[in-house]
Amino acid sequence: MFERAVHDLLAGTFVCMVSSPEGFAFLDDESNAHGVNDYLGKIGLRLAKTRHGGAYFAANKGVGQERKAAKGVFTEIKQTLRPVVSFLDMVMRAMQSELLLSVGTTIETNKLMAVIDANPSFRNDLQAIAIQLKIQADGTDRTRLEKVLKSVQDKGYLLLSNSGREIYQITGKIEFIQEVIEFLMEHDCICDVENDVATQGILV
Amino acid sequence: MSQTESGIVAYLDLLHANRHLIAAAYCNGGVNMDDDNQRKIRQLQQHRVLIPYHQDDFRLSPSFGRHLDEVFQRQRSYAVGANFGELINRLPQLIDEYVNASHEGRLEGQEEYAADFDVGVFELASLIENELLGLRVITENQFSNVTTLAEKRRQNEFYLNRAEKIGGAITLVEGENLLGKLAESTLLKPLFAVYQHQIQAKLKDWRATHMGITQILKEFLYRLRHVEPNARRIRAFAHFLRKTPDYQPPEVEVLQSLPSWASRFAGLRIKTHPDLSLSQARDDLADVARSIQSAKISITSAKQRVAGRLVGNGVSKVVSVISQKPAQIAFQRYVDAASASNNPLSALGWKRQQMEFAGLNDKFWLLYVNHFVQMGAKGKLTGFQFKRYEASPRYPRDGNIGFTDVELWKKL
Repeated sequence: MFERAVHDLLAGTFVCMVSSPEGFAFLDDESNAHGVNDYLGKIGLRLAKTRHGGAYFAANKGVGQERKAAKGVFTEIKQTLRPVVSFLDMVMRAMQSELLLSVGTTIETNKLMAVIDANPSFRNDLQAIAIQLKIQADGTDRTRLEKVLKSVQDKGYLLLSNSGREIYQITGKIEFIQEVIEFLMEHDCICDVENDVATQGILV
Repeated sequence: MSQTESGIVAYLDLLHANRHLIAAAYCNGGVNMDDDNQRKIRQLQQHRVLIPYHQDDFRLSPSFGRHLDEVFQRQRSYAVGANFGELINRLPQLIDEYVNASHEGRLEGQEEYAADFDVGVFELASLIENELLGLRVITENQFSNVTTLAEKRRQNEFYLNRAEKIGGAITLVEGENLLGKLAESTLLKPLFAVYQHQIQAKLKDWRATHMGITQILKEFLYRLRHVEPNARRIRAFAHFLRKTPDYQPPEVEVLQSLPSWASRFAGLRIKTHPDLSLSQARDDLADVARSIQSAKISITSAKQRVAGRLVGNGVSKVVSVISQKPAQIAFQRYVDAASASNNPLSALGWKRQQMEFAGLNDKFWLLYVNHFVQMGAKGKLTGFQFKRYEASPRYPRDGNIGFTDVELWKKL
């Protein structure tokens, strides 16, 4: 399991209960985590964990390297932040569930499609997300949604846990994006406009 | 068969005969009495399987319902588990009565108390195991029977409390109070053996399972408490992004201190190659090689004409000019010069006079001329004579023939 966990970490994967249950259980053991950290330390990396402990990932150790790595991370964030946040927001509103934001929560394509189909506002949102993700679809909302889910999966936030029934699960990377959002809101003084949002939701 | 056994068999027969009615009562939460099922319902009521609920409605007895819940692992919200305290407190009382019966020489009473103790310990062990199993299922499902966040949080807190009670029961059964009592007298040896077999042997596993469940419940509760603020934050941020289409996250350069998540390693693609020097790997590699299908080679003739079309689609053939190599040109000219010459013409001497062939290596040129002269140059050298100036061999026995020049001239 050591080998598998290290391979996943070196590949830049978030090791969580969904993406690799065995790997996550392995890293959750303190002595194993210590061993992996020592190993990564030899190549200038360290074992890191999201704040809520839902996922492990490899992080740069050196101060000099951190700046360089941060640039790459920020570039990725810039490219994916808007569609990912819009997607999470839309699914939360469509499924009327805040639990989407915890690791392992399932998203059923059929259920989500039924809600989107019944609401023009969600259809507009889906179209906007597809444009943000530069997705070429054949014009049907179903294809558009499938492609959006696939794209979010490729970005590491979802895992197709049941291909037959098209059921996705939220991975531990959700906790990473939550930390990013928290930082950006604090840094750019973006206030919590819950009341405003709630009103908008009702009107929609 | 004893009278008790016959009674149990008769009871089970009754259950079997009314199985559809019982199943309906369990699945639908009760049955309604009508003319058809009246007799059956009364029979089941007599045996305490069905209990009257409201007018003609009957429900399954709670104890029977609990048994079916257990068999079919049906989860009931806030299910009240066993009262471990009472079950455990019963055991010292049974021990005392067993000792009293023994001292008073009441053998029958002693056996009865021993049997009750055995059943009591078994019941306790079985209940602890079932509770732990039930809690584990609930924990692993993350309270999937309820949907809202608030419900999940309340259930989590309830079951965390339940887990603490099981922990308390485990502490009690491994405590000195009961164990000391059982170990203090040789008279209690049979009861102690039962206790050791059914409780003590399982304590380690129970403790580990209990700790695992409690930890998961606490972690889940911790996460649940963060879900709500996180959801609010994402909604607010999504709203901000909609209102601010030109928003861009800050550049790294402007940040004085980097957040911890920014040091994430992007990852690399690891590509490995088989080490062919390892003999162990060879067999595996041979298997892999065998499993690869050979590539199909299809030879298509360029001259194949498609029906109804001209060869090459009517495009005139491309002429490819074959350019001669310098040695070939030089040889041709050398033969021409030898033909025109009255004297034997040295190959090496002639080549050195031709500046355009200065790039030709002398040794290569001699070898070339020698070869083609010996071969007769495809019949072009009929009527010619040649002489090879052989050099003394460097090593007499090596079999090599050395020569310094070749002369060619026209036969007279």
